[in-house]
Amino acid sequence: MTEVPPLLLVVEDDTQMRKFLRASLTSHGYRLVEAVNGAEGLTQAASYNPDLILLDLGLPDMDGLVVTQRLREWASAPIIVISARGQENDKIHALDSGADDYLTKPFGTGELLARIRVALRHSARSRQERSEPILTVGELSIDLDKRSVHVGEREVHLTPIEYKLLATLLKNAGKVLTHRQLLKEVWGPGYANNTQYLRVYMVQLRHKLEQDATRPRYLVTEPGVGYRLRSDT
Amino acid sequence: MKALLPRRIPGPRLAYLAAGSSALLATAISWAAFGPRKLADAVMVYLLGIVLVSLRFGYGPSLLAAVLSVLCFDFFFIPPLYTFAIQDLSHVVTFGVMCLVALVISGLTERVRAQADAAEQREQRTAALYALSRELAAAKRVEDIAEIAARHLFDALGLHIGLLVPTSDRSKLSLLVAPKGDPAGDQPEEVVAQWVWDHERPAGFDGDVFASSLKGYLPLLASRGRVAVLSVRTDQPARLQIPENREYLAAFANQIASAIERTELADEAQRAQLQMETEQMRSSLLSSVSHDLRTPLAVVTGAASSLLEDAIDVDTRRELTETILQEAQRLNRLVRNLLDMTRLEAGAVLVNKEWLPLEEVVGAALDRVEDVLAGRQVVTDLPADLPLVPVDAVLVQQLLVNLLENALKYTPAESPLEIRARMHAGGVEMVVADRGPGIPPGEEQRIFDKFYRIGGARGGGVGLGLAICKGIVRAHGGQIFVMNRPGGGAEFHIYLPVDGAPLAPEAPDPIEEM
Repeated sequence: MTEVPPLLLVVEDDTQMRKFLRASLTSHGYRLVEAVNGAEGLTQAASYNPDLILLDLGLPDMDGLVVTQRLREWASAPIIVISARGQENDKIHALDSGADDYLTKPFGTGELLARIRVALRHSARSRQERSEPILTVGELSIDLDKRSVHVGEREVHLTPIEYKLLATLLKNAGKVLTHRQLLKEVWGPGYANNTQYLRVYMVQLRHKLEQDATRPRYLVTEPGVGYRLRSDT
Repeated sequence: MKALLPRRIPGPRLAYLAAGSSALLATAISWAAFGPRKLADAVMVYLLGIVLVSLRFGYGPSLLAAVLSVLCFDFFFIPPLYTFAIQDLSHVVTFGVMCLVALVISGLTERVRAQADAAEQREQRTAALYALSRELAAAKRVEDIAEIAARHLFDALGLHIGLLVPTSDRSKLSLLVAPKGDPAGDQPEEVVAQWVWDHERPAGFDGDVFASSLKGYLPLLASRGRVAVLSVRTDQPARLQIPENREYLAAFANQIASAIERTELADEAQRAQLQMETEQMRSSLLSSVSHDLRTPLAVVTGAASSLLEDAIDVDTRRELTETILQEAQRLNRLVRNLLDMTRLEAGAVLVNKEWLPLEEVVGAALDRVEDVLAGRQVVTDLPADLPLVPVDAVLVQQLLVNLLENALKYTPAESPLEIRARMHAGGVEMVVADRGPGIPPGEEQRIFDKFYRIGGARGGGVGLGLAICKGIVRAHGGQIFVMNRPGGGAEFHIYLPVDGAPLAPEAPDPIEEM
């Protein structure tokens, strides 16, 4: 039995942009449904139940954020929002209201496909109840059972907070996490606005894990948005 | 003639004393010289006395001199001597002539004196007006004009003035210069001034509007219409009753009005000049931008249309596609810079300061230029104990990206780059350094200008990268400058102020090694 290729919903009002997405996604084996505005996007999502949704934030009929929120009321499929540069706040809002990742226009096919792969992988993993105990990205590995961290052969000692932070990032490898999401996950809901804690611990983590903390291989900053553990190195 | 005419008529007592003594003196001289019988000669001496008195002292004294002369003449020379009786009636005619001469001559001299006085006063006023206009000609601001006018009007007419100039929309007035040392109650009343401004008619003093004996308001009218309102206050109302003084004041007002108008015209000319230069810059800018936008567009269009043709081998196809990608990326950078610049200039950029580790910002910037770096060596020197600094993550990343891109564009492919940071009192200093050709002397400031490229070089960009850096640094309240490095290359220094301290990053969880 051959595996059915994932079905993607593209909500994008620009014809050329849709054309580009269609060409690059279908040629890489994805099935596609298209919508030209938010209302149609919501209908299509309900009728096709896609595996992933690519959502442009600048839609003519409704705010992309509202579409994200409405989708999240019932759909669990990953949402990747597409936004223009300089809309950091929109990105954060979209991510905090349930989007899984974002792409900044203009982007290349490579970036697009990488984001989609990561998002689909995570949604597949979250469907499996128990994830595997050892997570590995490049030379970095974490054993969730033993609570140990290795860079290559070298074991790295982390404080509890550092460990929790790294574990969260590794579980979401390749995906952007906003400051708020990380703070909530690691420190708890009461600390959602204390980004300074987060930044200080990220610095410590980089110094322990990265060869050159100013040229991080894994712990990448998304300025104004959050952090991402780069998985495709 | 002038020598005989005194500047001012002496006091009346002295004048009448002189008149009396002239008659007595004439009597004494005639008596001594001619004796009692030489009537004609004596008359001459008396007449001389009367003429002299008339010339010097005016009507009253000359008439007194005439009457006294007649009496003395009658008493001492006309028979019967030593009485006032007259035998010969023809002597009455002589008396009449003597009085007439006194009247005619004093009348004449009065007129001449009046004319001379008037001429002198005119001269003084012309000189004062000239002095005023000469000072006003040098004045560049309305404030200076008001100050000069106040001084001159006080010197000339003892007036305290205030100047009310229109606000920028020319509908309301605001008091520019208040009369000096005046009690508040003597300040110009805005309602009256506004009325004067609106109706372009004077008010106050004995006019029919807002009559007052001490205060007045004059509209200052120049060739293109009203320019201001002059408020005038006097301590000596009588002085302003004199028509000449009123005219004088009007002449002053005219001078002030034209001076104000002149400054307005100068301002307008300057604005027009500035606007013209802005227009010129804008159009040269537009042509430069459109060239820089069109070139990559032309390449993309050409390459894409070639790709549509069938007879293209695989290698060419790949080459053309790469070209399209590169040019599109170039266009993206260009548009990004144009948008950034526009947003910065429009003040649309909100600086969202957060306490950040610089290391992280540097890392993010290096990450973004990873592709363009193409393996170029970048030495980073950030002290491990560098505290958090309050900056906008996105903007400072952009700042570093622009500096790095700039360095990559203008330095040899193998030369290393360097990023350093140090804390200073009150701020943090970042340095982005290269080993390129450095900055030509004299260009250190201009390279931060919009659309400026060293030697007009058409490198990869439009000359906005550094201007954006400057904008970002300014938005943070900091400073950016460039200097040449010992040993070759350029160094961009950025100072960003650090105010206050971050919230103590207290550990919300015990920190212990696992």
